[in-house]
Amino acid sequence: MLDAESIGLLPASERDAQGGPLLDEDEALLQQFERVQLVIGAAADQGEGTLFITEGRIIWLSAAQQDLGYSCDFPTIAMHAVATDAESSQRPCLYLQLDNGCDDGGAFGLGSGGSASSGNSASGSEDSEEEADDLLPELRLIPAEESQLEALFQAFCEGAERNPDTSDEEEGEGAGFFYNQDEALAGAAQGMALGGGGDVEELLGEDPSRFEDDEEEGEEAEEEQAATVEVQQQQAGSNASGHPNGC
Amino acid sequence: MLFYSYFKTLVGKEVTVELKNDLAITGTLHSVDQYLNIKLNSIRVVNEQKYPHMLSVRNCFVRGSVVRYVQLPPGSVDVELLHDATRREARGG
Repeated sequence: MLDAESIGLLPASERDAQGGPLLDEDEALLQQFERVQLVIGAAADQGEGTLFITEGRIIWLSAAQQDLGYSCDFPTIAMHAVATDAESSQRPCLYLQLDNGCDDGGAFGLGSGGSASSGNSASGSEDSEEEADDLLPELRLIPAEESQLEALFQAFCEGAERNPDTSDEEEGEGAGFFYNQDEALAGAAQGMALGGGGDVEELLGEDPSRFEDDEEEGEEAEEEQAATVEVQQQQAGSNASGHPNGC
Repeated sequence: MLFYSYFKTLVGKEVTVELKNDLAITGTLHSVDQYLNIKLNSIRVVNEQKYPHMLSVRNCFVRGSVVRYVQLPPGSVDVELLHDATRREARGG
């Protein structure tokens, strides 16, 4: 059985009374494309079917097999493109890559247990890697009519635009940005030098390295310093009343 | 909106978009939207062997949320302008 779910394709095995897709309560059907062949991964040909476009997802239902179908929501579609019949013998199609966010070593969610993303890993689970290698998260939608390709491409563009990521998971605009702290601080210092005032300038003052992590500072070092002071006091005055200062 | 505005200035330039799944695509920036969805024309894939089906792809649409990096042509980046803009944006200006 094809493990389509591993790449983000959900099975759609039920249909409504007219043979169309089972939609959610508030889900509206926007478009449909007849006679579209679906190929999953490298060569798993699902045959011809009908592609339905709703607000939030796509649903493909097989023409021949009443219980065969798949759905995929737009956020899972990482990229899509028109692939025209150039040097290769493949028919013109809409090519899609899926990314369901599975993080197995940075690859497309292949296999289990985080094997190397390059697929060259020799460690463990050889069998599951071989199977997973067959299923790159690619889809090809091949319309019977090449003239439908532009409309298909556009439908997917619009679908992506209708379904941006929500910001529930992120704290705000700064979330998800990766940066090099040294470069960022150097940039801030440079900004000061260029005369860009503001809060950062005030805080940095004359010490551009103020916000850098200094391994030598911190609680342990402070304790060490306090302990050193204490030892010095004990050595200095053995007659002292003997209260160490505030350890 | 900073990056949206910035990328709009790069329309027509050649960029390389690296996705979070390690796919890297070089092409001419055709358009960008507020979610940083990117349309590229005349693309070529950096790792062609892994994705043979992409050999005949000319134009593509990349979802903004899957982009890891956008590599920019060095000559067309005004670093000071970008620094100024990011400082202003960081201060909420």
